[in-house]
Amino acid sequence: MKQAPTKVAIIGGGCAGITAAFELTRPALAGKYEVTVYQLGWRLGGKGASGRGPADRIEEHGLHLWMGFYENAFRVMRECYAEAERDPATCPIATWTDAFVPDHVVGVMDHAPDGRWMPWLSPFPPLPGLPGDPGEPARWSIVDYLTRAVTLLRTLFEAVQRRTEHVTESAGPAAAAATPTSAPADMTDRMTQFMRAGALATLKALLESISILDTVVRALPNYPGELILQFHDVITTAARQQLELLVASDDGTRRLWEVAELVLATIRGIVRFRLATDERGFEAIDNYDCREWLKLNGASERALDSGFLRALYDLAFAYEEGDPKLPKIAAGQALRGAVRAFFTYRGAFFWKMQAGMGDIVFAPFYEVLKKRGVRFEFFHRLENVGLARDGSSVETLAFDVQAEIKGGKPYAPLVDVRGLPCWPAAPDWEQLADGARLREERWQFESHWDRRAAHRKTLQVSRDFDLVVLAVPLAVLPHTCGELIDKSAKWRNMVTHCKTVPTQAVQLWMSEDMAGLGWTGEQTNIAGFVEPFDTWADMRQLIRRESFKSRVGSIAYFCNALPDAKPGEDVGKPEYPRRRRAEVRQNAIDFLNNDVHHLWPRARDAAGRFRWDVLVDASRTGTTPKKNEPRGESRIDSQFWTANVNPTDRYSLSLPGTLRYRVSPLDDTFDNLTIAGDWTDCGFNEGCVEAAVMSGRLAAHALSKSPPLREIVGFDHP
Amino acid sequence: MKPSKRITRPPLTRKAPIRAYSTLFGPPDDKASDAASPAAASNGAAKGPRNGAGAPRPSPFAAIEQGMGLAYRVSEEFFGPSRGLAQVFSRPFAGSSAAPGSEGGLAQLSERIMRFTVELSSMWMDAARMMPQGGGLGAPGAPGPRWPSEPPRAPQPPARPSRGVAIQIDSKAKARATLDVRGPVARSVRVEPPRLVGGAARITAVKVESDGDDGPVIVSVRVPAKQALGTYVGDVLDADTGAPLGTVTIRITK
Repeated sequence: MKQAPTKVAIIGGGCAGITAAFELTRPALAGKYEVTVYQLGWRLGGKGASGRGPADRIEEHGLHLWMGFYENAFRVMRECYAEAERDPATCPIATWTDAFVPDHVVGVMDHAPDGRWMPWLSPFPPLPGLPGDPGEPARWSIVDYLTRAVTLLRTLFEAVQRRTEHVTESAGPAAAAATPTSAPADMTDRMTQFMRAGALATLKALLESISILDTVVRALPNYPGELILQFHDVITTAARQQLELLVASDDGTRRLWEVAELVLATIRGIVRFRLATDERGFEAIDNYDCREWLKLNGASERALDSGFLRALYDLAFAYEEGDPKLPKIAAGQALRGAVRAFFTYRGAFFWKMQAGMGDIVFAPFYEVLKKRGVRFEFFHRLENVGLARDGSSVETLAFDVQAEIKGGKPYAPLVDVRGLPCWPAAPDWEQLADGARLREERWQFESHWDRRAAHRKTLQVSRDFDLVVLAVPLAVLPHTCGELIDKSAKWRNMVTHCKTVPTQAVQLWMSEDMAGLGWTGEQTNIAGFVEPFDTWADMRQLIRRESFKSRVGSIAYFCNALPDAKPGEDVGKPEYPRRRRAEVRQNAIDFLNNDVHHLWPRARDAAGRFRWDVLVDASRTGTTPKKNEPRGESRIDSQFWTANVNPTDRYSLSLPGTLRYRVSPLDDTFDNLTIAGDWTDCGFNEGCVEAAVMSGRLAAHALSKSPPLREIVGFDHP
Repeated sequence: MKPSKRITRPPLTRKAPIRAYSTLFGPPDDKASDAASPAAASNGAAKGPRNGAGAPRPSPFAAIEQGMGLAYRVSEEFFGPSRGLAQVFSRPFAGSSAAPGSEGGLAQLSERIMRFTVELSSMWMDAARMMPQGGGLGAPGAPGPRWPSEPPRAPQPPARPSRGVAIQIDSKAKARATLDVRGPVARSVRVEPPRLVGGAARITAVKVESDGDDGPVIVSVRVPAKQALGTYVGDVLDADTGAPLGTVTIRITK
């Protein structure tokens, strides 16, 4: 007799929840799991949700870039597109290669010592393979990374050498080191020889010494750490002495030297902290802040304030309480992220989505999962997870059903935008029972402060569900999981110590193209810029996906962390989200008036203010501006911005000393529940799509033992 | 509803990532916890040969056992005409174009052989140092790091290595403590509570005492009776500067 399927309730349809649904319903599992996804409001996506607004413009939660090392995310995404079998004749984005386009340029804003802001764009070469390629997953060790770091160091010094015309041939140590071998005694002699020589007189000698370092770190455990550190220090000191003058006079050399310093500090730290042989891998230094750890290992203040390092913090919204004065990220995870990003990407460093993240990621997943028989219950807001009397398992799941669907039918969430299935920016009121009234009363289904609901629904274990995947964001737990938190010290520690932060984003549609605004570089993404919007992405590729009547020459997205509520402010009041939204609006105005000219010098008018007339109103019905369109700063109201302050919106931070409090999806404190999200202990403990997907795969493994852990790329990683 | 009628999660053999360097050959064979991969079944992904060499070393003796196991594999498989193992070793690093059997693959294979050999020999030396009567096998050309150790049963009188730091452990369970301190020890030392590798459990009963201003620093660790089995690691830090001085490792076994 065929066994009845196990009923799985997945709460939350973001990256983690959807990945868990995808894994649990793979055809190879032969229908063993019957999955229902419960989703707040009208759309999937969580922090990756997007919606089509006026003129089909894409309105995102923030700024999303996929990185070339997102092996798990690309793997399931590619499988999803393959299974969706979209028809290229009718759908403009039918395959994953239509959906994601390589982006090889990495940009940071460089803050010169004299106060100038200058973009620094670095093309990263395409590397072999494509992210998510099938096959046995790659594995990495810290020695691998160390070797690559030294190779990078050599490349940086070679670049510095090319920038100078003062290279002289060196005798002595350099000549002696011309052909390094790996014999330990030989290498030890050569290192000692270099150190006896004192300063390394030329860049050539420096390069030779780096060759020796390269050979030594490849066989790291075989050399005494103190000797390597001494040798490393000689190289650093000599380089600093030689480059100091050049650094002061040449921006290019200064940037290269800043990165070289960070690499040198990283190498020193790995040797000094013996990370290559530490049982904990990079976790061993997670109690340190990344800057603090680099400083401890010799990085200068200049390198610590470099655009390169600021970008590392910006891309992870790594500001405690959203305060720009409190940049913090656990050193181990930051290093793990950096080495994965720089040394293990495939194809391209970045991959840019060719429509909204909802359209590119969650629409095809929705299609495929529907075909597999997954049920979607939209308009379900989780209110409480109830434990059994003995506290070992989940017995009830209480939801507020925010709206009923007319005729009891399933809600059809997607809209067609010129052949592409997309998510709308607002619910389809027509499908909702009493929808006209709800619309008139402005029900806000995604707002934490709008608690209105049609009725309460309580699911019962065994009757309605067997197993639960709790895939809501971390900040939702205190509001919905009080019983679990009371019961488990692990959960208590997690919600006490692991922090989240609100974020802010603004999107601009402009009549001028980028050249007209003064940006002469390639299409790029830039981080490390000023507050309140430190990250910018040029999204011109989306122009053709939207339906503006009048000309749009450029699209720009900006985002950043948003400072948390003021001390003593009552965040429970409905005014709170409105105040924060007004604050982001003002931030955008100030930023455009005062700072954006560093990026776009021609975006200023004669008075030095932003040219507000370049902003395009999506409600225009013709090719020219309407007569009654606002003027000046108030034109910002025609653009899109968001203050992501809902608990469901908040970004998970990786603060020093907190990662050990994360709970893993594999944890079995409760015998019928697992968790999923980029806030869990999922192997890559930093808020991003890849972490969420890894976590979703782990959650599926926790319930079904599938996928095998060895297939979750990067889970077993130092 | 009786618990026995309720569907529960399956038991898992592993609940945390393996981050230790001993995963040179990949994670341990988790076939026991891993069902057949539906993804691999559907896309025909190649399966390389696997081995069981990935688990963290529970003790120096286990390290030696592991080293011997690896050595046997080297002689039996690596230097023999084993195409399968060659594929494991030549598995490309992400981003590498080297393919098994290609020139790049062979170069990479050679590099991995060299690295494996170096690490294997290093592990042997480390293991030898960790043995109670071990020592004297320093790295070529220079004295090697110190690996003071404790016998498995506690309490024991503190062993005092020449660097002036000692560790004593009080445990009813079978436990082994290793103190790995590099360089001169500061006057003021602090030890982070050792935390379970791959878990959240910690050993909080850690005291640091010094025998006078110039006397040795003594790190005392008390392992509670119900402490979870596994390897615990804590940092030894300069209390004034936060600079790392080394690590304390406690291995609790059955």
